[in-house]
Amino acid sequence: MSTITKVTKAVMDQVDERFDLTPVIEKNLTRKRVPRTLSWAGCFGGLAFLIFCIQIFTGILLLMYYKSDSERAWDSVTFIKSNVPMGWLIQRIHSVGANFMIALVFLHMARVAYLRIFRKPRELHWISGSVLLITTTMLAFTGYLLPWTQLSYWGAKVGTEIPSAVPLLGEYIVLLIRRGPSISGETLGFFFAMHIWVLPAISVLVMVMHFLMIRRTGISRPL
Amino acid sequence: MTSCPCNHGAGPLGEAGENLRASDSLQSSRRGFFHACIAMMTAIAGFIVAFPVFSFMRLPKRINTAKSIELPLADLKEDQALFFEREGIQVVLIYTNRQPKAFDAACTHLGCLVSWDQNEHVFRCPCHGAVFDDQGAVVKGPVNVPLKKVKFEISKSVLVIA
Repeated sequence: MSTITKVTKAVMDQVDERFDLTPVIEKNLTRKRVPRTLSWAGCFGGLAFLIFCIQIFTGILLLMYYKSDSERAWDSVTFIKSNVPMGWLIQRIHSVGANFMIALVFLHMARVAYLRIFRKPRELHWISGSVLLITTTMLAFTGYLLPWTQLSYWGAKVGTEIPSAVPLLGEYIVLLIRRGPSISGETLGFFFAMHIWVLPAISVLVMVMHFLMIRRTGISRPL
Repeated sequence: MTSCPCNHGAGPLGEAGENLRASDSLQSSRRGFFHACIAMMTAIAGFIVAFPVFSFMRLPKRINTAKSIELPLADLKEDQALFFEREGIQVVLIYTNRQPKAFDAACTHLGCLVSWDQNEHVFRCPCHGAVFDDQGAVVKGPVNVPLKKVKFEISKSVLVIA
């Protein structure tokens, strides 16, 4: 234990001599000051972010075996669940984690709305947070189709029906997001690309802005 | 007026100084205890995360791994080649002069898979141009080791590679 401490200290001393990193870490992480009135409910956003990180991590693991092909998608998920060591656990964490993430995002929003934290100067926090709510929901929706089960197929069918309510363009939007008149292998490929690259990339970008804004304005404290 | 029981090396201390030292050492042992607790909990949490992840990286169970290849002789056609995978090895089966022959299809040079040229009755390697005849012997190329033969049996007009 003490050798680990010594080695860490020796390395950090060398790093500090060059980058003066320790004060930065202390100011932003280990000795970061938060308002005394901040309750545990202030953790909801951070917990949602933690689950997002878990989703990224388990998602990368699942990606090693998942095949985004309508012929093989179900088989590959079954293979992960029954043949890959601990695959059942990783797959379950990824699917249940999505529910937890949405629940936490809603709790976070409910607190911000109830305490009226969204008021000036934090309007853009709320707007960027709304974008994150949309990307989170879209991530969950696109991920739901990927196992290619009856549930996911009909879920996607019903979900992609929603934009048809848009006046004039509705039917065309439905065609665009289904990549054709019905849910097919093309839909699966489109949802897969959205799920693993487009939506996570947008989410990460908006999250970075969301967090930087909070750092700039500071955590809200009640009057 | 006694010296500190922990023997810090300081001389006789006053009442206040002694108390300070005693509470200091209590504080630091408490701190050490909590450090140990935190380290242990971190180690347990790390194990709980690391175990499934490292397990996931292990080789998965494969189902339907063919133990042996069985092929009725009636399915074989003169001058034709058939490729099978058996336990990670590509096996090529040819039928020339009414004789079946089986080889490991990996070229003995650098392991590329040979293809069967049915017009000239030779195996050709796509990588460096090695050529083998229908007995697996080297005709030409950068290698002088013949193709590896694969053993098979024929029972009741069914060819079996065990």
